[in-house]
Amino acid sequence: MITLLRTEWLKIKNYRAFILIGIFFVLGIFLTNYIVEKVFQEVVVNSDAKVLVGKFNPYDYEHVWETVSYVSGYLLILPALLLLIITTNEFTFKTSRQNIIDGWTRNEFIEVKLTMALIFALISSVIVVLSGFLFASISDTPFSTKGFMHVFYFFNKALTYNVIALFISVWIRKTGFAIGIYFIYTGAENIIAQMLDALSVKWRNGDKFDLGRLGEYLPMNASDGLLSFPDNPLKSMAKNSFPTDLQNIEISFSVFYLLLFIVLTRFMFVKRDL
Amino acid sequence: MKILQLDELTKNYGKIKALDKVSFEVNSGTVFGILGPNGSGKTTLLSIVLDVLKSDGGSFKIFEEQPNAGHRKRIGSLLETPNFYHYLSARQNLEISAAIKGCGTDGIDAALRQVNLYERRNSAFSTFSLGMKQRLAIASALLGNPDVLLLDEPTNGLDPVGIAEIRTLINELASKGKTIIMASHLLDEVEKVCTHAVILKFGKQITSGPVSEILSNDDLVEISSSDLNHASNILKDYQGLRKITKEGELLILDFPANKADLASINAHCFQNGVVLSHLQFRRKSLETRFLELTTN
Repeated sequence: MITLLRTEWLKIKNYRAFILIGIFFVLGIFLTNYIVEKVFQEVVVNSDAKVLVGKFNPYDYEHVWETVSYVSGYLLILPALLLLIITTNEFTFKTSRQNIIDGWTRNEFIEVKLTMALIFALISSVIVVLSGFLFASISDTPFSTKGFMHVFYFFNKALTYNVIALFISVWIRKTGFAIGIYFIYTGAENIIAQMLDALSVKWRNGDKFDLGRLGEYLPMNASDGLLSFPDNPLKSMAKNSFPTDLQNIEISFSVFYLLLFIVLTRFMFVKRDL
Repeated sequence: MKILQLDELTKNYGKIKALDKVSFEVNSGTVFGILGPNGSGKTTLLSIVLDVLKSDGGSFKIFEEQPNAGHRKRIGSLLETPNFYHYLSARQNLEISAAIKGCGTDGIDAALRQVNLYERRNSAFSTFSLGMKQRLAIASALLGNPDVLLLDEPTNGLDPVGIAEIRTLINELASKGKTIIMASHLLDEVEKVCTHAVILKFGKQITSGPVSEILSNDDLVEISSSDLNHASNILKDYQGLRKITKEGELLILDFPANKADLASINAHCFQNGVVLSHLQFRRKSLETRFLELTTN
């Protein structure tokens, strides 16, 4: 696999889109969290709303892992998009064919792409951890790993987004069309999720019957739903009207979808003509 | 040793049979041409051999074994169009090919020199002309000094000088004992370099074997004399003669293979008062033979 990854690195290290999207993503994580932190300071802490949140700071060590994972999660479309462009380019320029002709097996080709999806997710998570350290150190609070599990949820979301991008790339093959499908799917899933969430509220009967948020059992929303802004007095006021987040079920669905898309992606590439 | 053995290889695109039970063998050291008009299945056949397409029936062996990725690393291939990363230079692209083939980067400069691209080694692939792209694809096929080359339309997009250079290169490689499998619709090209050939039409195999055998289906004899009409009259019942065709100042006599005897023809004409001013065998061109086989 190291040899395969080294070859993959030769392909992308001089690719301008890789460099640009990579820079946008890394800067984006720090900048977005900086903006959220500033807005929180200006709109909540330095206003009358301060009495409602008390001493709550989303960027102190107790909350930072949850906050940076949730906020940075909105930027995960970028590495997924990059992976999608890199993979569809292989079909557009028929280099996927050439790699097989030169001696890779189809399994090797798709496995190295799946490993890239994993590496992109890992690097994204490392950047999130680094940003967590940076913002928490500014808060001047004692170090804590409370809520660090959310970094793993962030990794899970990154991997899900990347694998779905890979699946669409291998399925559609044309760059523009695949990007369109990816965005349409993301939007459509969110609309369906909201409709399902509305049904969850309607069907919920106190503690006797609670299916959780049905929308969060969809592929992208299952991994999205695991991430949230830290609990705080403001959030608690609105929370009771929603169905419970059944986290274990969401994790199970998320892992199931991840495995499903990996199997489908691999199957499609190995069996179809190139 | 058999380099490639095809056994009733079949491929369908919906209702269209792109390959219909094609079977032939390629022996080590031969220059094997795969001929056929556009859409005859040449590229489909090579794509199946290189695992780019999946066959719908039949089987094939490479190096007398079930095909695998290791075999492809030992074959230098150029399939249909040059496929490279457009944003990378010629050298960077060959580094990727070398990494996949596992042959190291030592041979890259030599391969680039062999196809006259060394001076442009640092230029992006996207800036190359079609001919230069084709040369780079040939350079990629030569990486690792493979014993077998599989070339699909290798002179596609090249200018006359480039075509001559590639023909010389193929002859050089063949003289070193390398096996070359070449698909082409340029019959002159195949006739000049191939020892063996298979002819395909609409996915069906029309004929295969040594090029000399494919060509020697008929004996053609050219004659000329001062009175062509008289000559034609005295030859029309000549034993074994199938057809007489007039071509300008020549009569073309068409005999079955190995049935024409120039001395007997000359004697027969002389005995019947016709003095021949011209008498010789005409080698049928591959183009003529190809058209006969594919237009029937």
